[in-house]
Amino acid sequence: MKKFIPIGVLGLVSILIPVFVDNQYILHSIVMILLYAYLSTSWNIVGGFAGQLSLGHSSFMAIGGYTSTLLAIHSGLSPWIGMLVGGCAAAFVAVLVGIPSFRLKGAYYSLATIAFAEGLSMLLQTVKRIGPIDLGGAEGLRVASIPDAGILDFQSLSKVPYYYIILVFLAIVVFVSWYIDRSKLGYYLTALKEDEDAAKALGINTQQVKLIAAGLSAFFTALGGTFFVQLIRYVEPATIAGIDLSTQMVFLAVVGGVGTVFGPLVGSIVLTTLATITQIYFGGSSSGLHLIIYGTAVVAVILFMPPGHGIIHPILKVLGLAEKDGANKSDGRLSETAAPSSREDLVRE
Amino acid sequence: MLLKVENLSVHYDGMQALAGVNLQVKEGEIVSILGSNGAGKSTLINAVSGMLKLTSGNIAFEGKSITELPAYERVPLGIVQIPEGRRLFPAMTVEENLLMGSTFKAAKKSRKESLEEAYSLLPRLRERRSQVAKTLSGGEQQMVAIARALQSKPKLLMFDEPSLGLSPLLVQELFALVKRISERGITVLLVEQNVKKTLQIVDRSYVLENGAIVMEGTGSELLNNDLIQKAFLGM
Amino acid sequence: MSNIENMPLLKLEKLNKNFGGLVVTKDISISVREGQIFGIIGPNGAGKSTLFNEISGYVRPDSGTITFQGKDITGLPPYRLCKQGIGRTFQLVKPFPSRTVLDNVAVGAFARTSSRHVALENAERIVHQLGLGRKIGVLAKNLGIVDRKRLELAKALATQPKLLLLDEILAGLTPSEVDQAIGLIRTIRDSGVTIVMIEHVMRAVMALCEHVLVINYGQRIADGTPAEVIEHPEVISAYLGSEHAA
Repeated sequence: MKKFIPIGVLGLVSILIPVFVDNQYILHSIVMILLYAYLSTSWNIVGGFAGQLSLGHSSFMAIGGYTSTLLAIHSGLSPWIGMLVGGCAAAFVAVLVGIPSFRLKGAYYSLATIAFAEGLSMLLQTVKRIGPIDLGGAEGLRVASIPDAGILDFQSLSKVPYYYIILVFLAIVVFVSWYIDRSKLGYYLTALKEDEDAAKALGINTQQVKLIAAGLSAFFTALGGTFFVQLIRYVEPATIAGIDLSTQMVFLAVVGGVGTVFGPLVGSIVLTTLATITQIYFGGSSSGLHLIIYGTAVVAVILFMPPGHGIIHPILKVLGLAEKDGANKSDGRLSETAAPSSREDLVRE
Repeated sequence: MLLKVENLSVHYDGMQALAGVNLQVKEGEIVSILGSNGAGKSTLINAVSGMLKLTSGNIAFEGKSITELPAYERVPLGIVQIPEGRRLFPAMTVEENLLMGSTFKAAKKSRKESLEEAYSLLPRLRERRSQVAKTLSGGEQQMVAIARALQSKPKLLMFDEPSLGLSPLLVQELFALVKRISERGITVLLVEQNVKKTLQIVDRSYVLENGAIVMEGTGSELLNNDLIQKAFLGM
Repeated sequence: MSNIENMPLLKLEKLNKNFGGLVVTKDISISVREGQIFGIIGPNGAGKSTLFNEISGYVRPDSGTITFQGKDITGLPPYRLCKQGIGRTFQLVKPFPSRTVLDNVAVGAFARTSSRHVALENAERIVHQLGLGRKIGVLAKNLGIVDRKRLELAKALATQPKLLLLDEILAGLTPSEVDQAIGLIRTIRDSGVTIVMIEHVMRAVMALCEHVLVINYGQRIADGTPAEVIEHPEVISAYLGSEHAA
């Protein structure tokens, strides 16, 4: 139970933030920080848990954002419902794309995801309409601003409702990650990530498990896409299906601790806060600077931390929540020096 | 004294793998290091070849200290290791693998002769010289690994568990090969699991347990030793 | 009735496999009875591991059939075979390095349940049965070779196999460790698991196997009891050597 104290504290603090922060610009920045935390946690389900390095995840944001916006424009459907439709559409596409691409190994899979996202982005930029449906082309679409908008319209002038919405989204996706991690699906994902042949021998239908992870991840990512569109009231292909968003999700998860439940959350909060502060102090159009920060952070984490570890691991250690790894750490090949071979006990101890 | 290891200690991440090990190998000898899994045998030769860093102690080769030398500088001096698991270059042919053993200046000069010597010692390799290494059987791979090591013109040849995974017939051939190599004047340091066959061909042997030397003696002394018989020979 | 009683648990009929012109297994046929410990020996490169890969679904035979419990399982993928009751270990052990011993075994246990509670309970029991109790919370990457082999075995056993394929599980063990392992394998068989083992450690083959198949260059060169097989001249010249080894 002691595990839940830091979460409780964080939860309490986060609920109270809008009470203390008045400035809409700062609040918007905080909302963006939480959105990135949400997106990287969603990515982590397929990228971290399943170990499939998707570098084209923004495509699911695009599917989510465009679906909800087009449904709102053409059928007057509430963006909330449109969001869920978009989520399902993204999950469906993820499974469809996953069927051929998961058969590719390593770097080839990642290249396929990049190709898909870029392809989608190109498509959205060049195809101006499909029948009566105007896709907006490169200029994108606007979300009509509704006067006296309420929460049901998924819009507001103040940033405060957005803050609480993304907070709830984040809580949900972290909970889902936590639940998956300890469930049979989580065990199966780790197994296939660490040794696919061994996983198969233990009864795991690895292709099916990867597709489940891909679908879940795409679903949540798409929801984030709709949120993003409703926040800035604008959807445009180069951004929402762009490589920038895709790689940011990955960087933040890697720096935080890929494959852990809270790693992406921690990584996002630390890095995006850093980047936002940098942007505020070094002028608005220093869009290159945040990438330099991310790049440096990723390189530092890769160089100085054990493989697969991120900044969450020392944090957990300090909080006394780290998993005990027993005996000593050693590389598999040099495992000769680990615990002395037990010649005593055979079947009973 | 060809090799002298003094007070060697090696740690990994806080765990002591070797504690104060003293070991000597005279020129021309066949010396083995025996012990159960986890005793530190591979660690010991990895320290001698420079693959691992020492915590303390000294290693001297031909009277000169080599403790500070990186692994790749120890090979031209004549210290060559055949690692556990063969470690061939799988996409290269047999001959290409062999040539990789003589890439440094001193060995390159006598490359052609070394290659001929290897093929006459192991005629089966000559037949398969253009075959890609990963398609070879385990026993053939072991032969290539040994031949490759010989290309580096070793004075001290160190084997790390060469009989692992080999069929009984090949194990016999392997030990016969080790003896032939020793007869050519190369000093041999052998880490092995096959205690009986090893003690039958060595001059002397050390026994390692939990990172320390617990026994030392000639091959026949140890073969007749009660403790060895009980622990390793299943008697 | 007697037909069903005598029906072999596993039957291979004329299995053939070629890799790009290289014959790896040729017309291999074997019959394994329930409760048997069946050995497969032969020189390196003889096709033994490929045979295992064919039985466990990692390699599809070019021709021939594999029958398990009377059903044709030829070409089924590994995860299906596991569900049907075939488990295996790998020659180069495959632990999940960043997870604990318990979690590693739990992955296997989940093959028979979806409940986390049940899986962990079953896993814990098997961990203790195989003597890994004291290391239950240790990360798999920190285990020594002997414990890794026990873990490999534990993971397979957690899937509750009827047939267990052991691929050179004794490689690298000292004679006393081999003795322990022999006892363990017998115990596993006595609990109702049929075992097929590829081995080079002749002491274990002699002690455990009721029937042995010897293959070389992908083909059967002898089969029978261990005592019969080690006297066979071709087996001696191709595999054992004149000293009848280790």
